[in-house]
Amino acid sequence: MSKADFTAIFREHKDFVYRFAWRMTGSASAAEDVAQDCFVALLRAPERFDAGRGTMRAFLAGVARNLILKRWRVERRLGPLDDDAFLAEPLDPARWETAELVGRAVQSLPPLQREALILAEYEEMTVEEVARAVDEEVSAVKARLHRARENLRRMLAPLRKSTCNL
Amino acid sequence: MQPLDDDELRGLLREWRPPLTPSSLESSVYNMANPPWFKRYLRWLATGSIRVPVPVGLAVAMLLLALAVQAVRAPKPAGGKCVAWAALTSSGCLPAVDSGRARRPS
Repeated sequence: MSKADFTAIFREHKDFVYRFAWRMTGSASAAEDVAQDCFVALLRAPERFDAGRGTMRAFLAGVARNLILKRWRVERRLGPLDDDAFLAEPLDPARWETAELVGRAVQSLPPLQREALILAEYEEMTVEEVARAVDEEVSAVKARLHRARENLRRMLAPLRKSTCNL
Repeated sequence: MQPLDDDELRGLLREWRPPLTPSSLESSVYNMANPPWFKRYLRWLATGSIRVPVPVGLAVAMLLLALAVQAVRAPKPAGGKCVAWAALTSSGCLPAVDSGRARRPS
């Protein structure tokens, strides 16, 4: 991969990788580290990307999510990846601003539900693209997305009430 | 409490916006990918590996073994004490000889 090719890919996808990492980790410095490592990995081993298997976006999302999971493993912050039994409680809208409340709700989701939701809802990737990024079956991604949305509906339900009261 | 519908949920999710990508990201990627030469060599010394053909590796191992055996079997130099003393004094073995003479009754 020439430097010009890499620069073009970097400029096209850097915001996407950074946003994804930021929403997954909730930390600007962690997101910057993950984005940096993700592009350095691409620069050092560009042959790992196979255009026949998916888009560059899905590839970079996959590299970034693996780096994030590795980071959590090292920091021993990794709980159950996909907790089917996870049942979200409604959040208290009086304690935080709406944006912060939404952020807390998304970040309280189990990691596999969170990554599926972030990629599908925020980054507007198709379910097939998400499945390629997380190296899973489409049906598994659909199930995770469904559970993530159900949990968020429950957690954020108090916000509707407070909006109606305004 | 009634859960949110799809549109309400989508609208609320849009409220959570990420910060802008730091402008330093590009330079940090290039710096990390192309470190200065001494950092590259330090990294190679710490984590690098070299491929050695088996015959060459065996020949080097046998040579080292032969040298080690030869070093163990080599005869010790005569007057070992003297050599040690020579290291302590500037005039070699002379002090030992001199002190022996001094003790001899005249």
